[in-house]
Amino acid sequence: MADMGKIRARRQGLDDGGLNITSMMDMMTIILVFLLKSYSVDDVQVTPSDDLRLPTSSSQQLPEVSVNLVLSQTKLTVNGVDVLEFSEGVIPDEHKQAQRIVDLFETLNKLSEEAIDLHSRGLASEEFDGKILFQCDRNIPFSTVREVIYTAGQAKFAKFKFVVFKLE
Amino acid sequence: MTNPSNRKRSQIKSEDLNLVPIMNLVTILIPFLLMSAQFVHLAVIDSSLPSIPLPTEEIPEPPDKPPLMLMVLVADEGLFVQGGPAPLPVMEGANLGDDRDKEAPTFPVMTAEEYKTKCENHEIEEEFVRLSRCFTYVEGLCIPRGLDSVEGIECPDMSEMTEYPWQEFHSLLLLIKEDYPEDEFANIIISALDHIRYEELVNLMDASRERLGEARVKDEDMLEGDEDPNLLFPKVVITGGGTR
Repeated sequence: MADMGKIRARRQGLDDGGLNITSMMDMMTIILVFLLKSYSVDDVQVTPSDDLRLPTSSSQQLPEVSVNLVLSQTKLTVNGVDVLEFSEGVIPDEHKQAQRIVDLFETLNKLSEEAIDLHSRGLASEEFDGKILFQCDRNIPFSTVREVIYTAGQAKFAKFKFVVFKLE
Repeated sequence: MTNPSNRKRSQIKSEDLNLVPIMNLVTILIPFLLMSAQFVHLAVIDSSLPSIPLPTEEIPEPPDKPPLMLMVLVADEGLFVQGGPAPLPVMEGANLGDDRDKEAPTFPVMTAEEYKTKCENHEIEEEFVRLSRCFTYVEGLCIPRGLDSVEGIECPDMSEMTEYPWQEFHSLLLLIKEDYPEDEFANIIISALDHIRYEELVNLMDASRERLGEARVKDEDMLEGDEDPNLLFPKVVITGGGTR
C-alpha cells in the first residue's frame, strides 16, 4: 500500500520529502578545510580572558614544552594550578619575603627538585634545564614581573621564555 | 531486432550519491578540529637571569677594547642607554657623549601630538609605529588605535600620552653594532621603573632583537651558511631594579 502511495505522489509531481544535503555538504567541506588549516598540535595553550592579554611581538621563535607560569591581573598559576590570587596585578606584601613570593617559590622549588631528583635516579632522561614559559598580561607593572622572575630564579628556573602573540 | 529485456538493461539508471555517511564523518571531525584549532599563533622571547661566572685560577688577559655592556632603562621621561665601560657612539638627537646631561634620558619621550605629526608625515617606519601606544598604520594612513578593531588596544586620553622613540633607539643600536661587531652575541641588559608596563619591555626587546625597517637585510642578499645578519642584540637579560 505504501508503494502505491509513493507512485501516486510521484505521478502527481510531489517529491518524497527527502532532505537535499548537497548544499550542506558544500558548507561542511569549506568549514573542514578552514579548520584543518587552523589545526595545531602546539603544547602551549592560552586561555583567553579579560585579565590575561598577552603582548604582541615580532619574535618568530616557537614555544616548547616547559613549566607553564601564568601571571594575569588577578592570579598566578603554575601548570594550570592556582598559586595565588590578588588584584590589579600587584602582589600584596603579606605574600612576600622581601622580593620572594613565598607560595610561588614553594611550588616552583618543588617542581625543580622533583625534576632533579628524577634525573639523578635515572627515571628521567632529560636533565633539568631551568626553562620556564612565562605568560604575562601586557599591563602588569614591571615590579610584579621582576618579583616573579626573581622568585623563579631562586627556585632554579633561570631561562625564561616570554610567551607573546606572534605578529603575522 | 533488439531484445526488449536487453534494451531495458542498457538504460542508465541515474541515482543520487548517498552523502549521509560522509556527512556523519564530517560532523564528527568538525568538533574535534574545533577543539584543536588555533586562531592565534604564539611565539616566545628568550631571556635569562644574570649569571655570575665561576672563579678560575687563570687571570684573563685584559681586553684591548673595553667590553660592551649595553644597559637600557625604561623610565617615564624616556630611555636611558649606557654602554658600561665601553663608550657609546655619538648620535644626533641622542643625549650621549662626554658633555651629555647626566640627569636627562638618552632619548626623551615624545608627546602624542608630536608623534602624530611624525607618523602622519611618514617619518616613522611601519615596524616602529606598531610599537606605538596610540597610533597605527592602516593602509598607509596613520590613525589612532582603537579605531581599528584588529588590535583592539584602547588608547587612553591622548593629551596625557607619551610615546617612546623606538626608531631613534633602534638607530643607535645599529651604530653600536657597527662599532662593536666582535661582540656578536652581546647581552642587552634591560630594566624599568616599577610601574612601567610589561608591554613596554616586550617593545624594547622587539626594537633591539633584530634590524627592522629599511636597515633590514633582505633574504635574497643573505649569504648561505652565515649567521643571520639581521640579528642585533637577541640575548636579553632582565635585571632587578630601576635606578638611574
